[in-house]
Amino acid sequence: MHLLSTSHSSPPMTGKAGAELDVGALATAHGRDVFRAAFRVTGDVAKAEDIQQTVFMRLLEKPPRNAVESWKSYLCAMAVRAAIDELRRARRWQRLTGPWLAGRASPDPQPTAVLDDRIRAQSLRLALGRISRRQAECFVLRFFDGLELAEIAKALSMTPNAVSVTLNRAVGAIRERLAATEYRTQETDS
Amino acid sequence: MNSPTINQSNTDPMQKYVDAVIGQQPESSQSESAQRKLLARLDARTSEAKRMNGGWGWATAAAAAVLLPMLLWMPGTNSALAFSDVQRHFLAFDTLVAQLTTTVGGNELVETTIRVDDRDRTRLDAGAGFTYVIDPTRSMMLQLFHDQKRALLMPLAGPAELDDGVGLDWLADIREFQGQAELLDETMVIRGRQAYGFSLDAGGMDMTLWAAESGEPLSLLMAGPGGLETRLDFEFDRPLDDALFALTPPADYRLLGESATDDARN
Repeated sequence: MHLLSTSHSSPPMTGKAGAELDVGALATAHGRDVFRAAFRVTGDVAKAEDIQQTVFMRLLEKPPRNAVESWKSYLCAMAVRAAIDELRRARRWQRLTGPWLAGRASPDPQPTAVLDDRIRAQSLRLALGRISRRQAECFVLRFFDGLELAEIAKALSMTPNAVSVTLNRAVGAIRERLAATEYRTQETDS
Repeated sequence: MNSPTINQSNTDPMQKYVDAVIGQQPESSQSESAQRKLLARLDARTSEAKRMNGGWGWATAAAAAVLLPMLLWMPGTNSALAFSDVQRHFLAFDTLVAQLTTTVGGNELVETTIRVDDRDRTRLDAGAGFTYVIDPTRSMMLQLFHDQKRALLMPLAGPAELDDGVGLDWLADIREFQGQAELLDETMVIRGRQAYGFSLDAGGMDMTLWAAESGEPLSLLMAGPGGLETRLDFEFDRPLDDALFALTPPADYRLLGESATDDARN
């Protein structure tokens, strides 16, 4: 079963009107999932906490105008988007501070003998911050959170075909960015 | 966890990276702590809202319920303007100039000018400090650091670079937008023109796009967390000097090569 599926919808609550929306109940039901979705992208507990709170505060302030089929998918997509923005902000800051400062502020992982899981995860997160936001969202929702194309399409207001194309491009762009790291590791290992 | 695999194969090298991320889980105590903080914050927020709404809030709501249908029937409401009329301006233009202003809590952070031509060549001037010129037709990007009078010419890794760190997320969002664009009831005047607003919910990011009656986009407002607000003012098809998109740095700028960049980095 996928982590996020439409079977997790909450029928008593519609997304139509803020007055009908019990944000507390949604937070109780899906808060932990939102936290974990944000953590997977950022790899940082404090940032995941901030994103979790931002998602539900935002829901209080501006409930969705249309009915929500799966609250879990909807909320986790919000969290993923906010988390990717966080990755991209870090990346953008590196760009604006110039390449020499960027190298000091947050260096790319430079594998030594073995590319362990921690470094792999960090490399993938860095790559996600460097591709387009829409590609990163599609990639995360598909491969980290296990959503089907149709679910991603609904969550991101895209057509399933557009999701499929974006996903292919995302995989290609990430593969390209990871290839150099993998190559360096293999060289070191041999 | 049973997430889809890349190319339905666990032997794809990228799968190891995905598995590494999925394998990293927060401690259950961290998840529970976050949950407690969330519920406490929501509780405090709800209590505050109830206190604020205890007075005349019901009267305001009742008045709105009566007045809103009347306002919708007021002459001059432009219900004929369709979002697709607005969207098409972003898909086909000769030139686009966007003045981007970012503020936090009303304090202006930085003002940026973005110029795009019909070949998607893009120039971004961030205050007086930096300029980026991106030429996707030549797959090259020029960065100018004005304070240091330095320039860096580098190849674009791929189309994603266009969207990466050069402030064009919004353009992709609008071009690809497939969701519900809601025409707002209120209008406003922007640069002397009557403007109609569309509220867009692009995957959780709220944007309000203001357009003239002709459909020409005038302004885009985006609200982010922590009081962060971004406003873009658009001007379409203004003649732009081709030199703006040149990949040649000004004569008095020093062009950094790879080795010079490395020197500066060390």
